[in-house]
Amino acid sequence: MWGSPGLLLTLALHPALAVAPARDYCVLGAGPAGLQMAYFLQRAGRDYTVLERAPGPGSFFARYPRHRKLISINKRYTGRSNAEFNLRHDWNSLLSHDPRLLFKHYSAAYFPDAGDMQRYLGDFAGRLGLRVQYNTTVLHVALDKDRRAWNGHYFVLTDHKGRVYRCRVLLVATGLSVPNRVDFPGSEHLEGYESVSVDPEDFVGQNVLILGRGNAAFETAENILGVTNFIHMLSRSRVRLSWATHYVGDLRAINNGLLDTYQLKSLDGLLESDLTDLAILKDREGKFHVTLKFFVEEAGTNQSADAVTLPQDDSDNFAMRVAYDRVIRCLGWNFDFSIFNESLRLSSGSEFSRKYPLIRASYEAKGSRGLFVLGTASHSVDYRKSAGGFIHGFRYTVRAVHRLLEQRHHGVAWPATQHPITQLTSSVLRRVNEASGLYQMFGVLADVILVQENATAFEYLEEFPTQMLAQLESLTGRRARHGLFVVHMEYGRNFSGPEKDVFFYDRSVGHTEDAWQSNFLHPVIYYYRHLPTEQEVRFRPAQWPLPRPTAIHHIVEDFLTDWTAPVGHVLPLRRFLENCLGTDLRSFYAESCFLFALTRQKLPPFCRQGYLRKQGLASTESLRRHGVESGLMQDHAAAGQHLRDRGQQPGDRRPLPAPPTEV
Amino acid sequence: MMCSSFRVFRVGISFVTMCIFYKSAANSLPELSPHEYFSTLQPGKASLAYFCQADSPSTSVFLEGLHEAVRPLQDYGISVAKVNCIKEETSRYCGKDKDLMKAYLFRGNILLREFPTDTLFDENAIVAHVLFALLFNEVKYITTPEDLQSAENALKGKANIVFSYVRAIGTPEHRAVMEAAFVYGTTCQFVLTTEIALLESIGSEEIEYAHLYFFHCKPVLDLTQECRRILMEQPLTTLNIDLFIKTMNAPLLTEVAEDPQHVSTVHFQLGLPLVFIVSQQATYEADKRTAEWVAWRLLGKAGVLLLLRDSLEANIPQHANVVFKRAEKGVPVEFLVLHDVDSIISHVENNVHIEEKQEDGEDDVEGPDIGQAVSMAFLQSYIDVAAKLKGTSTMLLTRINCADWTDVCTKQNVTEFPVVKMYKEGENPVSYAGMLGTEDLLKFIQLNRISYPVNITSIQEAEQYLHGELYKDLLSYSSVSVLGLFSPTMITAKEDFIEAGRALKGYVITGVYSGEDVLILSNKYAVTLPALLLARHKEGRIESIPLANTHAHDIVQLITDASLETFPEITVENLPSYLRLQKPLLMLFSDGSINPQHEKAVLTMVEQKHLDSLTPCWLNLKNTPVGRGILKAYFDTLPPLPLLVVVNLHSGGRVFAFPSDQAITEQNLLSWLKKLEAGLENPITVLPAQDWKPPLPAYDFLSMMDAATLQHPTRKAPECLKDPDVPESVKEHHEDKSAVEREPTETLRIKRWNRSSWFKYAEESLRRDKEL
Repeated sequence: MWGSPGLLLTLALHPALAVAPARDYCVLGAGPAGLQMAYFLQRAGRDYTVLERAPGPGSFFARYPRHRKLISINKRYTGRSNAEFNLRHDWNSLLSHDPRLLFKHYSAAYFPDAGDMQRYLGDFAGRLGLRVQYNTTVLHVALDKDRRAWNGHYFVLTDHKGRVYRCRVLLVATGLSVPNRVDFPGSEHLEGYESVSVDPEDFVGQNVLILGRGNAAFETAENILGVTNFIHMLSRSRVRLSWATHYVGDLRAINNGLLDTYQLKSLDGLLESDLTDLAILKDREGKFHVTLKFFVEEAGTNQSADAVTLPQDDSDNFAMRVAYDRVIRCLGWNFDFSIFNESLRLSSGSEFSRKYPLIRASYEAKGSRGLFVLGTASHSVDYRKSAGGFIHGFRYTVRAVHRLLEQRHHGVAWPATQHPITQLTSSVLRRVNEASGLYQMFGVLADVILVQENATAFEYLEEFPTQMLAQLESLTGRRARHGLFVVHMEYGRNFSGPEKDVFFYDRSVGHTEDAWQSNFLHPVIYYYRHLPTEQEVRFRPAQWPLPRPTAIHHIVEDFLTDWTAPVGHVLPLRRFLENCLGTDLRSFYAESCFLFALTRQKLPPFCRQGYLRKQGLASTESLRRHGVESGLMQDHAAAGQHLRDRGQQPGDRRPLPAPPTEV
Repeated sequence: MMCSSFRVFRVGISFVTMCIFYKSAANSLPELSPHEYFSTLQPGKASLAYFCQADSPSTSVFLEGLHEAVRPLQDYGISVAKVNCIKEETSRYCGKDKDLMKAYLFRGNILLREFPTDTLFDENAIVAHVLFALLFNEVKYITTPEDLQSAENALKGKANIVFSYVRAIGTPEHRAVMEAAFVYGTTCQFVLTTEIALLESIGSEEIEYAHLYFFHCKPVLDLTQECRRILMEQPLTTLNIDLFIKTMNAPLLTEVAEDPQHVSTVHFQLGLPLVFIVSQQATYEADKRTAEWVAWRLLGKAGVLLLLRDSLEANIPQHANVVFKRAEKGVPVEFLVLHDVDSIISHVENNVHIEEKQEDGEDDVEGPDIGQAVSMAFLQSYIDVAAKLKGTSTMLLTRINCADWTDVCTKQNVTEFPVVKMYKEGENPVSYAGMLGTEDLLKFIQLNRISYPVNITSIQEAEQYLHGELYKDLLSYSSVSVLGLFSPTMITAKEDFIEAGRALKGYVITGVYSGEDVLILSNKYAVTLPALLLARHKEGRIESIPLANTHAHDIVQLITDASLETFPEITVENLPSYLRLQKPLLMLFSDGSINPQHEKAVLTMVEQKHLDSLTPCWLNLKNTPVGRGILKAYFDTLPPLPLLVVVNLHSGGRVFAFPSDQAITEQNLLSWLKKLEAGLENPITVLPAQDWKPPLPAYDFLSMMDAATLQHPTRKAPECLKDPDVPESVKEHHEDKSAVEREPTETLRIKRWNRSSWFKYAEESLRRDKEL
């Protein structure tokens, strides 16, 4: 096919190829992920183009979901004005600097209409002036080796008009566009989700069998639940409820009406079987019977429906003994591998790489350097774990990819902010309380804090792909020589899963000392004295998202996901950070620093970095009074005070009139 | 309207209260014979009487309660009496059975209600029951949602409803509602229920507690429309209900044309904030509609007023469209720019958005903070500054909570907190780098009223400047004024100086003069150009410093050093400046002002260059009480003051004390310092050199996790290899199967079949058949 060397040769010798100017970045597909990448490339002033088959962006949403209701929530109110925090609950917007380009301005519905998404994407591309070339169907992608190219080769794209594009970096954001088909005898009788009628009228009084157990299957069932005789649903594995798995791709409560009617005995039902063992026979009346491939094979090739053994012949209570009027296939989608030359090695050819292209945790293809997969097609990295297959997740992974590219090809180091060590606790707190990328892409993206020499300062890097931790230095252009913290969000290790009861009594942890047993999403901070090696990341303990750290801290789960409680959240965190760094991170009033400066040879970091630089924190009269009254501060102004205690050395007692402002 | 009727009533109440004063002083519960009792009854006046047999026990739970209830009932003009039946058996109220004695409520001599004593179990129950009986018309008791609906319908367009649910009659909450009904019963219809179902029907949750709603039925003219229901969020106490009804009855929107700082409404008096919607003639109608809508949404949470800008004398910043006045008294109003109703609402509800304080002007200091302790501590100082500047400054002080406005702070490149930035029109924002305290910030703000450096235009002006006549009011903020002198051709040198002046902006007053006649000044102060003149206003001295090829950075350092004093009083604020010199401190501790002779001795030694290797300074314990803490660390017992020490902070931390039996004179000091230098003195203490280690250990979660793993080994052998290369679906496949296998077989029988299990299953069913 495309992979034939003859064709590659022809292409290589094609006169147009030699002259086609190379672009730095080509993005395939103007869906949400493609546009998101285009946005970052545009803001960075890079040479890029987006190639899109359809006449406008987001063409997927013109047809899908078939019943038009998106199940990504459009939460317009959170009671907070923090734009970053609000993105934690906004599942539809792409990232941009323009607050008008938030999805909440496009729909008032909690579960919005797919048409609104298409309109939104149109505005996103239009308002930001993204460079998208529409009506361009790329038919073939091949490699052209060239040592001078950034990655040792150019990607050569050919479109339906025979136009050729040479690209230094190829960003594939084509989504999953090929309906997943299972091949078994009679599978030709199936109707696909992509084309089945959405008019309930067409199902009145029918017996319907749906193959599949995902949201598309349930969405289809939901639509016709009220008019059919019954609906049976068949799939390989048991139903996975997203509220039990915390995975948004599993069955969402909004679609699960059929679960009710099954469990409440309203004739609808769920069944489990391996679909590849299945066979479907059409009888003379045009009705469908379910049997096993095994029986069909036994009956020989020339079988008619009536000649084949049906399971109920042996067992008269066989569950699917009724005849169906329709069998609908809702088995999900696969990546379209067909346009990629085999030399790109996007697929290993094995059974399990049929759905997704083979990529690393950096989203770069395993087989081709310089080819990155973005968006839904990149979900193999966190399939059934996090949100990387959905807009509210991949908008952040796309940003991470862009940051990697900036470092690799333009020498722009991963963005980082520098802070004195005294800001460490508040920096962590701030991020765990507002960061949306950490929250949405829990377990996949993490903030990394690089401690500087002598632990006097640190660099803060946001949303780095955790699985690439060992390669941090080369990927970000930053140095991690003096230890690092990784700030991560996690669910409890044994909390969620398809068969778990996530509502069990006593499911939440309230005591700070039990924080490590927290079940709901909560921040976890890993401290490494040295950057873990690739081996350590690969061979980490089972169930650990990261290699075993030098020390670990869990901030206890919080019902409001608000980790700002001074005693419950802040203090244990500060103690952890202090003990990792071997220093005292408390804050002190200028008056205390003054005292330390004249009674100690060394000062705590807060006094060194603030007071000694003439930026001390002055106390006010009312605060001082409060401090004295609460016993936190000594009242030096008190008259007739005895001077005592002289013999003790600082260090073996609590700091003097120290810490009224302990953070 | 409602206010006035209430006020009349209040007068009535206070009158009653005065009566009680005398009565209660006499004694609380009168004991009367039936005859006496009936002869005291006055027409129209309510009275509660407990009829009892004389031989019944004189104390009982009921009587205790009755005693308690005397005073509160008298507050409502209801007299209470205990009637002893023995003296006169004829009264029909006396009953026959000792145990069946009852309490009776009369109005005049008409019996209204009789109460079995067990319903009047305590003071609350007595007051509640009595008022409930008296307010029969004012408080409608209902039991079904239909009752409520019909009450609502009947009152639409006529009166508002106070609807309450209490768990039972006679509870403290019931009493509170009744007391409110006594006051407001003539202006509002009270509706009461004890039926949970009724409360549920209007969508309440947490029915454990009593609830009170105010139904705004009076404004509803269309009968198909619902009355707006506002839930009182506070617990049901008499005071809370009173305040709540007052705010509900207050006018929805008030128009004002006076300074918001001085406006007060019933809301404000009740401890609620005020929201002023700023309006102009041109947009009056639209603003009014907005304001009404805001008021409607903030009902019970804040008072809303329409502020007419055109007829207003006070200044309101041009861009502000909302003014927020906090409920706390004395806090300056905040001027806000909010673009929609929702943001007004959320501002009121959160109380911490952008707060703009003070009057308008061209300057703007902004202090972002995140809700953490250091920021909060500094915020107090910041607010103090705002209060001190009130009315005197053209500065607008604002505060941004970066926890809410991350994007704003990021855009301003603010990554550390707290930060104060100053924005001046036409200039780049300046970050404040001084002490986070009221005094220093105030100083910075005041000094920023002038430009840096000041452009001096004439010799006269330069002299005025040097003699502190030009910026008299600023002299207390800057110990020195610096004047750069350049001939018109010294362009680079002047630019360097201007750059240095900008860097010192807000800290030291700088000026520049480069007129043709600059030589007059350089001659007068005997210095070659380019040069600096340094005016020390306190000492009335003008020093000159030549500048030759000095870069901006060095000029800054030069001026900073020059503004240090030779023998300063050391304070918390200025110590860091002197520590920078890296010399041992020669420090005189004084309990109050310094002895002039001591000062003279030290200054003489400074002049004679005996103290060049030291930083001489003194500490006034009255101004810097923390100095006691220092003495405490140096000495065992409080030594007599004044006292002189040398603190060797930068090498070894040794502290030496000047012998207290010697007088502090030049000679004594000099010989002591010589001995010190020669190593002949012993330190009184050596300052500890410990590092600042973590004050307390942290939780060792890693060990806890390890321990848990050892106790409950995981089901699967620790498969350490988690190769990201293996697609998840492989593992999922296995997991799914095991999940299925764990299910009860009964479910499996129905739900699961495939080729392999099919036969097994068929076999099983066959066997079962046989058994049958």
